[in-house]
Amino acid sequence: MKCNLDDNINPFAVQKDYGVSEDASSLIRRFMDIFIDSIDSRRTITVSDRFDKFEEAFNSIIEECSDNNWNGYNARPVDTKSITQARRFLNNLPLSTPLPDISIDADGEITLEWHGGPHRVLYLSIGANGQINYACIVGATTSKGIEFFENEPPATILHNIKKVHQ
Amino acid sequence: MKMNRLQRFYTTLKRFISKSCIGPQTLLTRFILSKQAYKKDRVLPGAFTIKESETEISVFRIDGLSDNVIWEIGKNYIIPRRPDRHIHARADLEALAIMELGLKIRPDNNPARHTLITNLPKEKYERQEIAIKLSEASRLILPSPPLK
Repeated sequence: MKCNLDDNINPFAVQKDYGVSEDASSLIRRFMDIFIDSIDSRRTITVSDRFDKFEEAFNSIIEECSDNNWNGYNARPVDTKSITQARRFLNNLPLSTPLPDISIDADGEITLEWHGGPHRVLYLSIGANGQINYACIVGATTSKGIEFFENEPPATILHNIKKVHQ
Repeated sequence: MKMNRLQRFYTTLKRFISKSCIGPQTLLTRFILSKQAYKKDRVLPGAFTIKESETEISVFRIDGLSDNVIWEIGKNYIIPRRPDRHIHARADLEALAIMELGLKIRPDNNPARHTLITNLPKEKYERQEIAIKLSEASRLILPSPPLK
């Protein structure tokens, strides 16, 4: 049996006919299946990694900020409905979206911050009813306001995440 | 005799004014009691958020003080607000960064060196913009070990 498998094989390249036997072709196909499966499983791990990071951040907030005045400046305890909204929001972001820093503000609302470097920041808070207050600074430009999250993250927010990380 | 009294009054007044006077280079600090307000290399905007119903951000003037004395202020005046917590960090910044945002700085000296950042806007997203800018202007200072 002749097989031209080597370390540099590119499974995405258009397969050329080098006159290899049928056995070898089937071996190549099998190799490609395994390769593609491994890519899929890697993606699954990435999704699960994201999820784990979100949950880790929420748990840390619940542990530290569940009572009044957790910051020494009269902050409200974390709002569990805000966590629910933030979790939904994060799980509805496109997978290619960079991960934000998850935290909490003095109103007890979950905050998400995308930091693309100095003067490139999107900072938002999600309220119990899905109201998003946000401010985005990119260089000398600021955009800010209120959006509502229902099923999909608002286009303005997605646009600002992109701008911050461009 | 009269002149001496007047001189003494004038000197005391001058000292009081110079202690309370805020110039653009005056150094201020915000003590951080929560690990949610900073990352290992920077202050997060959350360090400068206050409740919607509140109108002032509490800071201390730290001009001319040694690092040890600054941490002592935190220990004496911030820890009693949450005796079960410790001070994780502080955010040091110049008054200029605050003035540039159109905010006012008002020393109330209660306790000594305590100062308030006032004139904050009402809308939450406006305050978020300010929190971003103040956190970017701040230098993260960590105690070693964490201060109880």
